[in-house]
Amino acid sequence: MKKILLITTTLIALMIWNGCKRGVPNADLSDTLPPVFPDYSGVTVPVNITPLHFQMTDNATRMYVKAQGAKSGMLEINHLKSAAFKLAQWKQFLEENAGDSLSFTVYAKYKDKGWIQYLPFTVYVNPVPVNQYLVYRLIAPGYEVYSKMGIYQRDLSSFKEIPLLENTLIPGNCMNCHSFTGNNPDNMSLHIRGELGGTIIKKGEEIEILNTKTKETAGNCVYPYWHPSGDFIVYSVNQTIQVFHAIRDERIEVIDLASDVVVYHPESRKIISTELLTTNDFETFPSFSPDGKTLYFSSSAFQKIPGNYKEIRYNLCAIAFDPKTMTFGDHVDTLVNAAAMGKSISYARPSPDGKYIMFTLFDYGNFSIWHKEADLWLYDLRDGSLREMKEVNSDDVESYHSWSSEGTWFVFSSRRLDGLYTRPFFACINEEGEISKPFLLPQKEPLEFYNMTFFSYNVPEFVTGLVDWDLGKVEKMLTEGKRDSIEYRNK
Amino acid sequence: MKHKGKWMEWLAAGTLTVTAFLFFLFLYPYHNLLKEQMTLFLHTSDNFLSYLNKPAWLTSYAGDLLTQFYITAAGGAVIVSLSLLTEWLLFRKVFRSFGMLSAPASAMAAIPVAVEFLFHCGLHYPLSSTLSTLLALGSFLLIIRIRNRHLYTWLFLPVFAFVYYLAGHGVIIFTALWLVFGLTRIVKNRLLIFIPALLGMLIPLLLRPVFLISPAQAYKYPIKAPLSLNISFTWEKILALDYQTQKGNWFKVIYLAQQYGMQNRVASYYTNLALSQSDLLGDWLFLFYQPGPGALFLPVSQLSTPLTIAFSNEVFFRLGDMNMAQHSAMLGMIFSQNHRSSRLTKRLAEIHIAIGDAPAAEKYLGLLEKTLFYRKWAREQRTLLHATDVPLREKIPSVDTVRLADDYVNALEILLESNPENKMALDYLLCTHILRKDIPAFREAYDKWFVWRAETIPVVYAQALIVSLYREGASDEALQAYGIPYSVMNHFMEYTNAYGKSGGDPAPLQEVYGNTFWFYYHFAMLQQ
Repeated sequence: MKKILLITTTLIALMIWNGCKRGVPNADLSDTLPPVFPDYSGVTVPVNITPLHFQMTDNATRMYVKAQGAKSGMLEINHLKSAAFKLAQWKQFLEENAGDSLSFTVYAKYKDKGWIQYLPFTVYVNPVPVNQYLVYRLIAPGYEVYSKMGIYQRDLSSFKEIPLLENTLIPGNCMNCHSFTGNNPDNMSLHIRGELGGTIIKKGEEIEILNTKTKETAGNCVYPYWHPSGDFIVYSVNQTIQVFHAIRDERIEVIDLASDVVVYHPESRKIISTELLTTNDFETFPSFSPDGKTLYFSSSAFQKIPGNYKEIRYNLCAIAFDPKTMTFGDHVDTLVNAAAMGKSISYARPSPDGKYIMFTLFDYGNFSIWHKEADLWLYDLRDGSLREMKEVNSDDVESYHSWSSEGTWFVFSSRRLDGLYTRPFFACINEEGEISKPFLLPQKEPLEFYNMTFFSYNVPEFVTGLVDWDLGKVEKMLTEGKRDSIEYRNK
Repeated sequence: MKHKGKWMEWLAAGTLTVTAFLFFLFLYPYHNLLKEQMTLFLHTSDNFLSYLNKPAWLTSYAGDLLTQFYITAAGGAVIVSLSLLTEWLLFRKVFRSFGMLSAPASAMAAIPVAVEFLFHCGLHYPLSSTLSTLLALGSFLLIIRIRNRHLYTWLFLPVFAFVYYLAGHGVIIFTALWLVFGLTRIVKNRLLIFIPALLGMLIPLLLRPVFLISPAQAYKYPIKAPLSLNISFTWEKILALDYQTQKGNWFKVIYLAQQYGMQNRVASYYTNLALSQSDLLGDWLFLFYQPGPGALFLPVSQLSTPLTIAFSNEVFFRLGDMNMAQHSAMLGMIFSQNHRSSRLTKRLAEIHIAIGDAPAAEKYLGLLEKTLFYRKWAREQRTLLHATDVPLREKIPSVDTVRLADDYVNALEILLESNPENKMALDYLLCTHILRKDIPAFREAYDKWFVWRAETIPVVYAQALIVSLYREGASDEALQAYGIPYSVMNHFMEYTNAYGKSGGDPAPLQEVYGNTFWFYYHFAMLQQ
């Protein structure tokens, strides 16, 4: 009896093993792509990306996946819930097929239909690696809340997420606007709002916390962007109000009552600006060109608030900046007259190679995250041409975006999944300006993860390495309350 | 005799357990019902894993798992009373292990249980905290089985770290008991006991950067809100109004409000909502305590409490002011202790169904489908995802404008401009002006929105209107044209005479005129 049991068990085990190894026999062929989440069909991924786990969105009870490399290698997955690849195998698989493609064939088992074999989908592997870490804030969507939030760094080569700062350490305070010098994790700026408020500046091992409000400026420094040299940070200074729409298709606006652009020089602890950047009009969302000689920003003619809120339209502007003399040019150039198009521009982000400026274009105002029509556009700095990035845009919001340091990859925020929670998507652009189909930040169990979380991914920024700081020291400095003041010097 | 004594102890414990059960079932059910609403327990692996990155993960997980059964008053009463009984048993056993006799040990054990009982009467005290204490007591009873003094000492730190990770603040009781037991029963050298105990108490501080929590939180976890030892029947009554409001039992709310006679803004907020839903606001407004215009809306600001923020969406939602309802529901959830709430997730699903945002509604319904008790509701709601005849949708304005969060008058006018049939918005607008004592604004709104309605003028509006007309010296014909009943006119004349005679003293007017707008106008002190 024992022998029979042993033989039967061994045979069953062999059959299962065989089934796992050689696919699914007698599967009906489907002429559609598999209903999986996330949609990886036709996307391009960097060679160093973490395994692209995906799950069936229908009532399949089991899935078998065969991933075949165009150059070499094959991975097989037989799983109940998700296609989950082993990290080491996946890494080798991608490296072997860099510059070519992977083909995924999905078989799904259904209670009523048995096994179905879907059409294979292709994933292209770009040999250019993306920066290894992505830093973002997790926060409830759209509202200025002082409750649960945190800034995290995600290793894009694995599923590891490391907290950079959570406000459970400093209860009742809000943190926002993390920024780095050209994707370098050594230099970081981060603003804390609330009782323990201040602007944290990290330069290498040194950390200081500033009170960036001066007599001459209307408020604290808000939206930052580092100069490529690391010697300056350009900020906008904004006085804002939050207002609510009446209709159901639009929800919230955050409107500037006043806003200017200033440049902070950490070495001298001085703020400089020019009357061209501190007019009665609204100037905001500044950034530096990769050579550090031009300062880009959004500018709108002054409007009465809140009555004329729909008339606020920001153009993309530029002014020369000389880092040696810390002086500005004598005029402002309007690169894109969005107001004339009946549109508004935010988040001008020049590519590291200096070819493009990527920005968000939407109907009015500066709070693009609640504008469903908000899309990404490219301004070509070589010939001044404009193009909509149709390859990555959706019917829902595309908003904040940033470049990886090599200038091939970029990340952007989109609400295309549920219209409410912002998720990071990645895409690349090649030498010819061709843009790939974007893919969602991979997760171990993506369907559960994105459906269950109540937090939006806010301000995704690439960094080349892990941000390393002494959290104990930062907490101590924050709770001690000492803030270094800065001075304003008009130039 | 010995046997009889033991029976007496058990009888007392049983009686107290049953008393606690009956107390939470009949006298104090709404605190537990609220605790369930402010928790969202998902039966998913991600939810389980999310507990692992903070101390007290096991008791927090178990506490939240059990809290979902607070969905009925009986569920909460059973779980709390049984956990208190368990705590008493464990404390009793602990005291017995110190050599106490049975009766004194039982009596002593009742003291921490009584304190625990009072904690459970607080608004935010989590069941996980009780479970932390139980786990700590259990761990202590296990460790004292070790009679080898070296092992007793050396095992302390690893057990401490383990208990801390599983049960958070329970380690404080665990350490205290271990210390006393060690000193009295195991080790003669005090240093051998004190040094590990002190080192142990440093562990939460050392581990706190890993868990990203403040020093105070490191010793309190899983307790997140300040502790209270009060049995607050005031809050219990408010929560009763809140609960019945959610169920749509409007006459029950009005009945309870009448019974309670509370002078409390949140109670007035729910009473006024129930009156408006029963179409009685214009008649019965002053039959209840009115602290001012703040009795109509609960603000969502940095000065608000997390609980009032959670409550504030009820009026916005029913008005059809969906963006504000979403704002307050979302903030209510994020500000809640666990940053997740079944009640507010339900409301967010309802809001997105009302505005026709199916993808967002699906997200919330998907979450609720992962719960034990809201699964069915969520599946039913899915049928409304693409419906076009959602009742609340017609209340939502169709013409856009923007407003500040606390600009209620503007918000109500926007609602009425789009949908003059929105009776609740009209009542709230008129009552806002009345409670602000702003007669010209009331008159303007009345003339614009109410005068053309073919319905009898409610008493309170008539009382405000007559003041406005009287001020402008309107004729009798004008009064009649507005349809002000003779009874109100006569009453007004009587009040005017009585007020003149009173010399500004409210006492003689209170009994007869205390429920009129005129009395409110002259004597009410408006609260911000």
